Amino acid sequence: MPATSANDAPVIQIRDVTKIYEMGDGTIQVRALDGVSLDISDGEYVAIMGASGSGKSTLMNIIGCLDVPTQGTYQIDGQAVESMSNDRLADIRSRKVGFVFQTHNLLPRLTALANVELPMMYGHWPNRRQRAENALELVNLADRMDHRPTELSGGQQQRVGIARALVKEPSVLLADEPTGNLDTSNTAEILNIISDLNHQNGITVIVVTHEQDVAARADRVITLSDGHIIADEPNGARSADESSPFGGERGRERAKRDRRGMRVEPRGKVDAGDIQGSATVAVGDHRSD
Amino acid sequence: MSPLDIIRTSLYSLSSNRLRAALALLGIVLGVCSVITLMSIGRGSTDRITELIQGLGSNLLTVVPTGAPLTLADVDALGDPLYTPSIKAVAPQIGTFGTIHINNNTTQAPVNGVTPEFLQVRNLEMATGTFIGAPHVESRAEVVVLGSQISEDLFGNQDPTNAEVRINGRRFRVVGVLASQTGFGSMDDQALIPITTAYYRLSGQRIPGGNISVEQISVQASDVDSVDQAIEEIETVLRLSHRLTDADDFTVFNQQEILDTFEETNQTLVVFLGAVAGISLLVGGIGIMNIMLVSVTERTREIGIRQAMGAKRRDIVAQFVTEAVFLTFGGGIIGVVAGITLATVIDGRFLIGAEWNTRVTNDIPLIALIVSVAVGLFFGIYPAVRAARLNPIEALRYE
Repeated sequence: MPATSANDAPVIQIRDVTKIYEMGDGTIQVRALDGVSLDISDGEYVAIMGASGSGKSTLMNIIGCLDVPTQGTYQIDGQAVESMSNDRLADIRSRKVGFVFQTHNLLPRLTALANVELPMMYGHWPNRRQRAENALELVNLADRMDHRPTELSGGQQQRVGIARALVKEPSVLLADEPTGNLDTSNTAEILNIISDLNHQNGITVIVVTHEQDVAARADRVITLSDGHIIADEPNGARSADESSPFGGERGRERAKRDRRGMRVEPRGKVDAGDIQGSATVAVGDHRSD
Repeated sequence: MSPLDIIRTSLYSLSSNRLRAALALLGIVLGVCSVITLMSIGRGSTDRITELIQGLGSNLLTVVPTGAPLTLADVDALGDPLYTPSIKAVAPQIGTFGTIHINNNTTQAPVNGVTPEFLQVRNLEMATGTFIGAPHVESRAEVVVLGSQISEDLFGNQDPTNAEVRINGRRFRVVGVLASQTGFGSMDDQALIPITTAYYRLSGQRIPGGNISVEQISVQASDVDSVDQAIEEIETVLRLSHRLTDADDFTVFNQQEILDTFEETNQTLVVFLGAVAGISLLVGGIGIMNIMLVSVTERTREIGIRQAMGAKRRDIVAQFVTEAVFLTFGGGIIGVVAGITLATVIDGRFLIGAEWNTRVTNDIPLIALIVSVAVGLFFGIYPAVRAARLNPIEALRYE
């Protein structure tokens, strides 16, 4: 199936979104996002980059309808989310968003098939089993359907995670550091699957990452810093060096260091982020958590 | 989320920690088991008391004097079928206390002066010999009928018929022994002599006019349905013969009333026992709540995942409440089986010095099951609501 051409109305439309977290007794206010505006069209493959504390997690939570903005408007598929109740948000998550997590977040006692069926439980989906099987076939796991997560490799678990995100045909596939816990070969495998889903099945993909080679697969790279978008550029050459805000050599260097850090601490995200954060303090464009 | 999904999800969650589920279940099992056992004991003892009282005959009425004495003249009047068509038999009674002895055996016992009707009115049966007859009453004969216990105390296993005993120093000939009879008004430890003998030979009291005063009159109504009619007739006859214009100088006790009072008291006992057992069920419920709270904390991440997958608050609430109800319902069923078994096992046995009587009526397990489900609902809701209120972002980050 060829990539569908982008519709006129964007799938994601974010206007002047500000998110303020209140710490303590409301005395300390943290502006995690500050006046962010962003459009993402149907079929796009977007990477959101930024260091820890840049606001990319907050942006992801808002795009994924796990959180609502303090100010500004956000529409997903033309539906305004900012004033929705918890249940309506849950409904939007159920129908429009497919999450892929860094730590897979599969339910350990369910088989791969049951894990993929899980999101369809919340909403009245017919043919759940058939759909789940199709989704698992799409990520080449047809022969592992009855395995539990502990019986699967990290890469296979993440493929189950992707199948679970896909199964309801969401408006957007939202991947948060999808390869953060994986080694190099599994990373490549997962990124290939995500690219294929975007190119061949026309699924809108948003990947949140701090890794250059993950972002390099995207058509468009958005870079956040201190709650602002500091760069939003197409990634035509799909070259990490061209679009890197850090410059080629340093970017590659950082990516290596991150992976090395993760091999030592396989649980990953926080530790890797800390390593990254401390390594880039000298650069001066990051804020530590 | 469909009901089937909710049930499947809850069973999946429970099966993930079987030991803990089993321990939480145990509290409910014990609670329900004790509710059923105690309530069955309560019901059983009600039955037993009813049985004992009805052993006396539920058409038995007792008249006692509360002012002027009742006399044999009153007894004759009550026995006249012309005035009291609903009365079958009338048995007057004088009670004294006597020392009965033979050779070197001595026993103290109530000695009752009665008439031949006493045997029928009080549903008594003879073990050996004969009862006091009309000629005995007429001749103030010194004959005695012994209760089974007294006979055993004085004569052991020997037949005492025609033996001579002394009651308060006077010689009496034993004409018969009563069959042993349990229950209220048992005559096992009493001796019966003709009423005239009791009055003239043993008792010192006399009333003017040569009439024999009696302590109580037992009246047998013709059947259970005519009890009320019989009471009216007794009152009419006695008020006439006593020439009363205002308050009665006697009281008529109705066996049915006594029975009702007992049953009422016992019903209170049953409810009380049930409530005591209910406390253990409550404790079991608190155990369930505790387990569910731990479970919610432990599964914070799972809840986050489900929320991200589109679970609404009510889906999360339904899942956790269903888990709690499964626990209590499962515990309830096991408890019902255990309770019925226990109640059946102890029925009719002598334990810790008492005879236990139990009766499991259909409503007891039903109530126990309903209550256990209600306990699950009540104690499951708070943990479930806490689970549903989790912030999905924080829940997903929870380690």
